[in-house]
Amino acid sequence: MIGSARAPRRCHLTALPGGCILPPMTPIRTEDADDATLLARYAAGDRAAARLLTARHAPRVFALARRMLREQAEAEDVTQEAMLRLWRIASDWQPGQAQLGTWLYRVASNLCIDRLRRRREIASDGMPEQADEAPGALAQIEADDRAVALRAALETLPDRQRLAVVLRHFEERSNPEIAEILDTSVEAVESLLGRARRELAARLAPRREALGFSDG
Amino acid sequence: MAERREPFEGTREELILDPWFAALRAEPAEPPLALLSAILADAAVVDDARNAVHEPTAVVAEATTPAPLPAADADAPRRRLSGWKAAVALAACAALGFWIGIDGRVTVEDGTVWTGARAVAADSMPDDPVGAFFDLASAEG
Repeated sequence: MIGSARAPRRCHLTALPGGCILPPMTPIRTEDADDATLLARYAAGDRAAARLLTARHAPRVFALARRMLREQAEAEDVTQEAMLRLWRIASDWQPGQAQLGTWLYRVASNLCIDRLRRRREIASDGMPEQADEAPGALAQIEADDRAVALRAALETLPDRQRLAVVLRHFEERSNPEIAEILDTSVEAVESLLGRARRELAARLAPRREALGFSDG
Repeated sequence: MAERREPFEGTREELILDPWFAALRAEPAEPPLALLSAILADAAVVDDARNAVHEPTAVVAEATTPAPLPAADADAPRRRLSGWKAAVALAACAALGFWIGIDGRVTVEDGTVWTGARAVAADSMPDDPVGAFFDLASAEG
């Protein structure tokens, strides 16, 4: 588990004088430009295009990572790393090869899964396991908080099931897009989601009344 | 055996889970400003690095491309001979030397190194050239 106290975030590649504050960029009049166009402009040296791409995609990637990892600092790392990979491949990007947002989700998803696996390896090496990842974690949560209960239940799911649920129900991606992100078939995504929902429902159903949900 | 598709199996669970999902969706998940600044700084650094890589590459490409011979080099022999006049004189001397070399009428024993015409004239010179000179001068007045 990475500690919550951490140094101020700095750019990956170099520590710019005065932190990571960039000089003001020239305004760009292509707010409606598609992602591939913006990326091509960035590759041609237009940094305002990078700012638009960041504003458009970084929040989504961060939300995905935050919900997958539940750790602010790790979610920030994943987001920064995913965006950095985007900047690096900008000049090689082939328009039409994939949706840029889907590509970013895929990179972020893989980074999240890597980190979740690493967590488990560290935990299995004798580090103290997080309480809410332990079996029966839900029973330990006594707070009247639906979000906390759902998060705890989500953490009991296998990584890919959790990822499918987050993408489908929180990021509101379509099943074909999730299939592309997970590099699998739509049928496999439906199967993943079905199993995940059954598991979540089984875990959360006993707490419905306690958390104020009426039967329906 | 083909996997059984479950297009509607999630429906009941979704009814149960929807309010839970809604509760979690309501939680803000906005990236902090420092993160966005760091992402943009990364973009700037990658852009700078790309430009730095491309510039030397262009120089190398120019260096490895055979360049046409500069016009100044083609004129270098003339410049080394200190101008057109010197070059023409040298060429004339070379031609004269070549002609002397192949012309059998002119020999080193004659004591002349002039042209064949002059050599022929030398052959017809009188035995007393000084006397002949005064004879010519008196004839012309």
